[in-house]
Amino acid sequence: MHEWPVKVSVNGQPTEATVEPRLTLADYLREKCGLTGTHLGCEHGACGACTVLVDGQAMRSCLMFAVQADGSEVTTVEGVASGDGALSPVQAALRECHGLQCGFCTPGFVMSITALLRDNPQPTDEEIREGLSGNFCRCTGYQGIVNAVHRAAEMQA
Amino acid sequence: MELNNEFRVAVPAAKTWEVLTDVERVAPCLPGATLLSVDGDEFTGAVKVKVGPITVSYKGNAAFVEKDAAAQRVVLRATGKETRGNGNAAAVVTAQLKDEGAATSVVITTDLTISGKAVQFGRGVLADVAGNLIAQFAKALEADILGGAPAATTAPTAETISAASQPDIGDSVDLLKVVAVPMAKRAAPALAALAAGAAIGFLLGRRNRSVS
Amino acid sequence: MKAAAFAYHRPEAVEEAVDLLAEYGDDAKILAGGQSLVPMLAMRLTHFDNLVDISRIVELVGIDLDNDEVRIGAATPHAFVGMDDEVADSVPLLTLATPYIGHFQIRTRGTLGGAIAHADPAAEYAAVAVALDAHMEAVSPRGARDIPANEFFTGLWENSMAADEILTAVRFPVWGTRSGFAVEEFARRHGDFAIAGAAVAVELDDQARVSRCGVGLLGLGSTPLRGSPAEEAVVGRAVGDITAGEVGQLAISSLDEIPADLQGSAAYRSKVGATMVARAWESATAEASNA
Repeated sequence: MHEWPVKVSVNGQPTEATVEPRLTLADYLREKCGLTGTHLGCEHGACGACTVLVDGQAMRSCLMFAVQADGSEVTTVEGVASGDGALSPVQAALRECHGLQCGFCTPGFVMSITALLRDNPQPTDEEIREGLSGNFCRCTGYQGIVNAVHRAAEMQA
Repeated sequence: MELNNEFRVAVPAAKTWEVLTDVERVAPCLPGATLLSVDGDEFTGAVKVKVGPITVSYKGNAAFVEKDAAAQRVVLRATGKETRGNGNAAAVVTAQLKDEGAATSVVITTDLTISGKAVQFGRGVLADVAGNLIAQFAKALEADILGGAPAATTAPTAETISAASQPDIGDSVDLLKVVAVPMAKRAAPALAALAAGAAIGFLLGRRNRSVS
Repeated sequence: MKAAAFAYHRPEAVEEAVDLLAEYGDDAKILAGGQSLVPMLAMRLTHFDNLVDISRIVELVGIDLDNDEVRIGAATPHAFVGMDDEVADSVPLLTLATPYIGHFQIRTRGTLGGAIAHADPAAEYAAVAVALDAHMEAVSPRGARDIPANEFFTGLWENSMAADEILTAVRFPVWGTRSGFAVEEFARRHGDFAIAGAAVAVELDDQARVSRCGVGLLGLGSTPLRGSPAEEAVVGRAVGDITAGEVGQLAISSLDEIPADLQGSAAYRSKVGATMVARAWESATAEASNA
């Protein structure tokens, strides 16, 4: 079917491509932009591994078509560390608190936690667990992740 | 973040200064604002504003930290918390008046820090909100100064920003479209404020730390 | 799991969207937030040759308090509805329902109109619309019309709009000051579709008797339902006159098509449903009594 031109600013860099409408934003980022940090866990919106920020809001990139992100600003996990490579507080905290093992779910958690802390800088345990209920992890059992959120909140306070 | 706005009123600078430093006259001109208490140069209030499609309410206080008549400069510091939610806003608003004979131009520089709901919408939307508020404020202020006619509260197109009602000014209340926030009329001592700045202070800003 | 190919349209106005639907008929589907549609497309449970993306039509995004109604544009994301202070002040049932909708990443994109038009029996906003007698605004080539909530949901994932109609907004009435609201929902995991849930609104007169009551039930049928027997039983009575348990039992007493599936039997669901109503009734009446 007809292809569409798409322009998306990704991590501050302009990108563009002509794509099939059915290409998801996740696939656009991975295949057209070469940013494979955004992971595909389930491709139907359940696991959260594909979470990115679109115009500042956390969204599941597997449930958006790239054409719908035309003109938007997308932030992926690759855009979270600072320019000189220093880990963001969320990333540093995840590392410090053992909030990852295999790392597959981690990009999704980084983006979700980043958005969460921006909107609620000092969340309670319950708020953290509720806020991250849309991200699945098979390795850690979540406690390390919850600790990391508290730690990141501390670091950003 | 820093926001810059400007407006002009068809009123000489001296008169503009006088009114702008009179909180009781200025607060009603600020869309969506309610004055709760006044204590000299300090005052508390609440404000409701539309940020993007959502309405956010804040409550807080503000104070004049500088009123330099010679330099025609007013500086206001304001802080507020979201009424529902856990966001905060803080602002330092500087208004510089410039005499243009029969008119006055006012340049407003706002240094904003904000967290919570409003942040999601990003700088662009927040700057738009600021611009709208100030434009409405300026219109209302001018109308107020010029003739006791109530503020023209034609809300800008898409956003139905709550309009402040004009208490005890003449009889043209019917011209006002008072939406949402009841304007608590306060027979309060003069509150000199760049209420626009105050509201912006309440509403706008973003945490200065780096946020992804 | 990638969707099959389709043609994409992005109209900039409602009329354009309506024209596109009319042109393509059954081969077209409205796309708003996509949080329900895209998983279905991805898993190839359904397919449409044309998707009409209305998510960026400016006139469809908005929340406006107008006299005693809050009008919400169909393409307004759940997150905005949940964050809006005017909604919290005027139609608290919406604010209370919002956190139950999926997860926050779904709420930033999913839309109120989309959820209502999708008509899932466990949809929170649909239950609220039913409990409050909301009005749906729909537009077609024949013009605009108003559909009351009790006529809107006609079956599993079915609504009463014609194939060429678009839901453009939903209007929720604002209840009086002596009102209380509560939403209670049960799911095994946070964010799952509810096994059963209730959205309760109650208003008291100045003698603390119930002057009106709306009970919306979710997950207990093929559409969101009203717990009418409970509503009828409480009107005119003092809150203390009737126990929450009784209210819960009454609410489910007339349900005859309670779903049974892997999540639970019909008996289980109805028990959970009655309990959800009871709890919501307790919270709502406590709030109304203190109002």
